[in-house]
Amino acid sequence: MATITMARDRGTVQVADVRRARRRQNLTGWLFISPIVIGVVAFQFFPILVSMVASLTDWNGIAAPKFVGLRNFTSMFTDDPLFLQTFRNTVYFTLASIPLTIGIGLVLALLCARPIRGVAFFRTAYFAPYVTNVVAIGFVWFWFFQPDNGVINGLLQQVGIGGPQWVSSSSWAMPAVIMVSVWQGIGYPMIILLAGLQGLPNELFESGKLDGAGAWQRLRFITLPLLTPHFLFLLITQFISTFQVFGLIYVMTKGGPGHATSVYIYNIYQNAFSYGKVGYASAMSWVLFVVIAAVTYLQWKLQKRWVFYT
Amino acid sequence: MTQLSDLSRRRFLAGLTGMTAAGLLAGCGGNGSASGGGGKNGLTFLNWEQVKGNPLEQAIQAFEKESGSQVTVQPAVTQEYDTKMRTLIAGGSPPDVMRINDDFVRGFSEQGALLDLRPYLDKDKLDTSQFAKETFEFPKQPDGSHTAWVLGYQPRLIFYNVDLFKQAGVPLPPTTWSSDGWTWADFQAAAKKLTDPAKKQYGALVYLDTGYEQTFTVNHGSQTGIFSPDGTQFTLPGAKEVEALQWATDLTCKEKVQPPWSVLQQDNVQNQMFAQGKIAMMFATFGTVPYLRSAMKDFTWDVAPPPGDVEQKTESSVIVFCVPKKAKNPDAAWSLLKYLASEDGGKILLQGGAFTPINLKAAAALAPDGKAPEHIGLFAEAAKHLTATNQTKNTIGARELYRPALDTAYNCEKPVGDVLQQIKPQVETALKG
Repeated sequence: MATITMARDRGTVQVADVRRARRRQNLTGWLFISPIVIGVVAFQFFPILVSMVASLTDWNGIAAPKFVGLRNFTSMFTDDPLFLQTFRNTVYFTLASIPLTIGIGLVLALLCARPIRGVAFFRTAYFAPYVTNVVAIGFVWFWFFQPDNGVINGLLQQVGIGGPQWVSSSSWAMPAVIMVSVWQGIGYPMIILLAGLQGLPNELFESGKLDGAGAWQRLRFITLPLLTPHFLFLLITQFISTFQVFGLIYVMTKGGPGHATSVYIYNIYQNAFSYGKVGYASAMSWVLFVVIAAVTYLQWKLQKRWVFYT
Repeated sequence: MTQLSDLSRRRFLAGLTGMTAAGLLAGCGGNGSASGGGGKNGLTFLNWEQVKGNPLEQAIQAFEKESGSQVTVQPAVTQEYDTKMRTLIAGGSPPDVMRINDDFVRGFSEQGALLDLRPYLDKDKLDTSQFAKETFEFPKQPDGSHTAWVLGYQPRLIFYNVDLFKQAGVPLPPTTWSSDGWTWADFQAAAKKLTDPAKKQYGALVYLDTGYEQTFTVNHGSQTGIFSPDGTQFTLPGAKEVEALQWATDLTCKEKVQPPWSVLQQDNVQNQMFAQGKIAMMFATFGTVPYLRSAMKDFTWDVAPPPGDVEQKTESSVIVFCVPKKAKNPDAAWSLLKYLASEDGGKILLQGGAFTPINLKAAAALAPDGKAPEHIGLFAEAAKHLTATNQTKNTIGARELYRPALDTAYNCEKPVGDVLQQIKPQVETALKG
């Protein structure tokens, strides 16, 4: 009996030790990650919370904020014509640049996947703009697009074409910015799709060949379906980034001429920092968040219809 | 062994946590010297231009010597200064003296961000007749408060290339504030003769300097210029105002004597073109003088008043500083501002050659000193010919709406009147603040 009791006691002691050790381990883990956790809470969650509260106030960044309820959200649609215009401009930018970026990225990936000499150079060259500073890119292309003495119109003149006014024209400024954005962005889909291409199973292509499928049919019926998970990833990430375009616009056109290239984030920036309408800008940010979240959710839901997983 | 290991790990983790907490506290809490006051006997000073090496530095040093106070000049920020200024004020740790965009003065005053200097003016019984009246009164608010302090002003004149005038056989503009032989028609005729498309040389450039909006509309007979006197209405779409802006736009679109809008979008391009002899006459501020003095060595240039029409006035940019309401050393800040606007301070600032000091006696010393422009004294005389822009609660917000909209008129895509009529309701909504 005494032996049994002792064994029970020993068992209780062992369980308590294990619990203590686990607690210590957990505590150690939490202490190790605490700098990151504190950073995330202080510099991400807290500002997000503040912006949520600010969106319900008329805060101008100086005087004490006054609660205005949902007024900021309603006045976007009633008092601010720039809200809809910049939203339209952003949609235009997104719808034009995503297909071009992914499409050209796919072509480059298919070319760079071939075992040709110097392919490493081309992969690097196409990817380089993606990792180049957007301000530098904006400045250089701004010069290239100068109507009178820019490189682009100079080249067009060589072949007898009078170039447009580009960034100075309200109808050509957005296409100019889109072109630069596509040029800068194609490296990313190229790398993602290249990785996808290199991971495709060879036996499917060999079977296709044996069944008499030509190059186009193999691309159409084997390669592209197998790459659909990569396309889904690119669609989601590209949508999120193009919907938040700012740097190129800020450097190349400052939203002009005549608000022709003013996009949503640029409008938020101006409201917050030029006009001091911090509350209104916060509300705009939350609308953007909802739009991006909704479209991303929709993309995720619709994937069942077109994404093919092996 | 295990125990020792556990102990050292605990100590290590405790130390790490302590360091993290201390770092965060230090980061969040700030300290006096970094953010706010310059100590008991000093003050902090923020400008959007580099102070070091400029006459402003000498003037501050002279003040330090005279007052025994120490001025800590905070690092200059040329980009995003307005953002930094707003952040400093919102954060409650602004410098004691800071430069402020003149467009912000009314709005910031209404929001209670700026210290009223009126009690200091009254207490010191300062003789305000020593200052250029229009610019001195610029920071005066409707409630009588005086919420900012003007150190000087930069009037706009016509800068012209004397050599190009002589080569084209065009009579030089007047050397006094006179419109004899110097009306809008004379100006346009001269611009035509001075334009040479083969050399890509343009006779005039008026519409790039945004100060032309107020100057040319008032000179054409507008009673108000851009905004109504109470700052609540956008009067630029009025008939007289539209005529004036269309006249300036037509110098490009019809007369072809002014560079197209598309070639003027790079920073400082107008000054470079003028320095390269590609623009014969340019409407620009006094602030252009230091650049032209350094860049133009090969030919002669001078300044003249703007051409006359119904009136012959010009607009000044003002060099405005303020004392934020939350400044830690307001008394010392006031002493510095008072000194910089004095005759002694003004004489030092005058050496920069970039603006006219607000002190009339100091401004009277404005002279060419063997350097171009020969008629630099016209900038001082401009004090008698100023058109004052009306302050509004949200001047920046209004401008960010109508100026980009006008791009389409400057591009010759739409008439000025159509653009301004279309944007008017939005601008007036913005003016409500």
